[in-house]
Amino acid sequence: MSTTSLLQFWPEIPGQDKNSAYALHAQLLFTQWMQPDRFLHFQLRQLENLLRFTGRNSPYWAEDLKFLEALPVGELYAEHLALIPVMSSGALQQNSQQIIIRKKLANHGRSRMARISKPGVPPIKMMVTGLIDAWNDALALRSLDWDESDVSMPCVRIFQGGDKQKSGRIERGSILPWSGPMHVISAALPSADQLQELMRIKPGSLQTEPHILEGLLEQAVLQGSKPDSLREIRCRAQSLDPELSKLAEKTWGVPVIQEYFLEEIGVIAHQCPVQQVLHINSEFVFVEILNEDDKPCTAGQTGRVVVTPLQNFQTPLLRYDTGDFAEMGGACDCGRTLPLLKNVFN
Amino acid sequence: MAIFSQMQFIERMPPEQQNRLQMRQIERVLRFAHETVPFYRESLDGIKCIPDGEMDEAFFSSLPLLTRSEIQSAGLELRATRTPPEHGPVYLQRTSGSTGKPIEVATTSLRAVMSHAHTLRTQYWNRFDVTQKSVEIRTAYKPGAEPKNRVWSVLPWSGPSKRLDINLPISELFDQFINEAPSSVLSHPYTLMLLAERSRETGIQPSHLTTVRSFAEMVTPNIRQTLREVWNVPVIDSYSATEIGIIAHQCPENETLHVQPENVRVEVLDDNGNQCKPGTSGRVVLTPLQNFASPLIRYEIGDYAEVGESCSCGRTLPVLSRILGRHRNLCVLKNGERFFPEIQADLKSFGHLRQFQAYQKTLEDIDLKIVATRPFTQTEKSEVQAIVQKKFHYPFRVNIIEVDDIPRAANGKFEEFKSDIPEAKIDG
Repeated sequence: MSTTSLLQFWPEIPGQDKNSAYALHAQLLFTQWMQPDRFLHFQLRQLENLLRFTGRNSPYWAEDLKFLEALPVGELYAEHLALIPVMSSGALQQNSQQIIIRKKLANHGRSRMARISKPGVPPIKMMVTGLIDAWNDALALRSLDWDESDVSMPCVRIFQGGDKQKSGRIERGSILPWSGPMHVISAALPSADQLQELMRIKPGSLQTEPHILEGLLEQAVLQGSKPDSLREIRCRAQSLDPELSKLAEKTWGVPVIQEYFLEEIGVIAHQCPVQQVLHINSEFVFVEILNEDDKPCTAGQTGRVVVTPLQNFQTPLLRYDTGDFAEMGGACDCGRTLPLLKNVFN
Repeated sequence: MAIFSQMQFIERMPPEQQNRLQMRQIERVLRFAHETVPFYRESLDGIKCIPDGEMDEAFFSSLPLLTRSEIQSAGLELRATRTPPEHGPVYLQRTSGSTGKPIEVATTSLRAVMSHAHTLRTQYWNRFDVTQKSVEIRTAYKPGAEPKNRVWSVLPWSGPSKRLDINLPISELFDQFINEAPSSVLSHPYTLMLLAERSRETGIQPSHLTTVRSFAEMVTPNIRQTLREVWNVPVIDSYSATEIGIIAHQCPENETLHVQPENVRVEVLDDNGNQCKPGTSGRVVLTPLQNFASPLIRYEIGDYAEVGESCSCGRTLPVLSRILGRHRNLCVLKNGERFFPEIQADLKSFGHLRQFQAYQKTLEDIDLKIVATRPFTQTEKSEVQAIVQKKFHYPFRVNIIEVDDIPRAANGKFEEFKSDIPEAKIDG
């Protein structure tokens, strides 16, 4: 008998590469229900770790973080963030090389350079650690859990930009060992061809962007095509037009699940499984909604979305202005205590 | 934590997919056992003829059952000559001997990993506040062996956990329990009830208690009621065995038990060896899925359980509606009929009765030990005898023995009824 056939996957005993993602996801299961004050306590401790590390190791941020020297350890509060200037996407464009901290980090995995492409602007380079990859996998597991997705079915991904242009099959839809295959369809293909591929692959899940979905749905209406196996559409977008969701529901009879995603940050917020609001992945990113006076908005108010990723110590983006606007939400009916965003737009 | 993360997806998988993936794991256990365990070399030989990945339920169900006696007599023949390196070091696990037939099996450190994952699952299902303090009342560590800084979860924000010795006298145990002021307590149901009764007598309430978890014995309706009345807490039960690990956890939404299919394949078989349907009960047969050191295949543990309908909570894990007891808890009648007697509710009407234990010595005699705050009158004794005869469906000679205390067994367990009638006496 081969050794391979003995390797177990019920459940699998993962190698180090997957172990971190699973372990993070296990903790995310608990933190989503944590009392808000306790959650904020842990979140601020993580933020403080990030800021102190950045202050010590980054000439770019050193001046802005000088205030930490006078602050006792464990005493950072959300109000202190106002001492750090908001960073525009233009500043990131100009200074991405200086922002990177090249110091090796224990427990953050292997570092690599990632090329971030956004339509209409030159690509930027960011240093990403293995830990960030683990966080992305863990957050993907969170969304699969929330949406009760059937991970054993094939999945199709169509995204603009970067290395996601080429069509072809990649390994699996998630890190779960019983995941179905993930197929990539090139965003460069005409919508009719994309739809044809979609009909051939028969996926259970489609991951895409609003303008690509719009093209697919237009073609589907023209051709009367309906991928019967499809159970969900995951749309990565800053904003999602409710009319597009309605059109998908009407044409294919499947729900559209929104993920508020930025290429340079990751998934900032994920649609609540109970209602049409977005829960912030607050373990991963600290989100501020700021009014015109740069003061934090309260529930029901709309303002600029400014984010601080909490886990990327090699390319720290502190108070990064996303260019988006959102309404701050209150408590959610689903019982999860993760903060809410409503009506994100740009 | 990696195992627990995956379990979150398994518990909502369509049952067919769950069963199919579990069958693949069983196949791995069988192939490994055939290759490495002398005891199975012949009995599992048929698996050689099945292509990899194609073993089905029919083959599995055709395999012979494994009894406790066979485990005892097999000895080292039941141990694998090697274990998968990723399962960690091998160590021995010995049952407490409450059946009179203690058994010893080898296991690996994967067992501890699975155990942590299952602790997380119950903590998650029941939304426990794991930052608080937990107390476990069970058999004590050897003197000086208690690890320092024990926590009751692998989560980094977990609160401390303290172990108390279940064999302490109840008054002393109660004082320690109150002093620890835990938010959560885990113990045997009967011990929990004695502590709650003590609480009622003294008027001293555990100040922070929100969660009561039980294991190792059956939770009777009477115990649930007492804990609700005195401490205002529900009991969250689990079903486990030393030689297996966790078998089932109570559903967070009702009192049924969800089988843990990641850890064990559970069959409930009727007298003809067929799978019981929901609503019917039979013998529990277990196949642990993560122990490659002493693979136990279709192990008849000696328990009886009732199969439940699929659960309204949405989890697709198999359901046991209740555990009826062990083979030795079955009352045996002359005509060969066996049943689990229930007299607790009726005897409760005697307000001065504190404790009882019934023991079937012969096909004609029941000894009933009682502990009471005052002696029973002759009339009361006659009433008790009539209750026992009615509930045991036979005019047994009921010998009432008044005692000061009925101690729990050395393993901390307590059984309200035990029968000593050998199988052969009826069957032969």
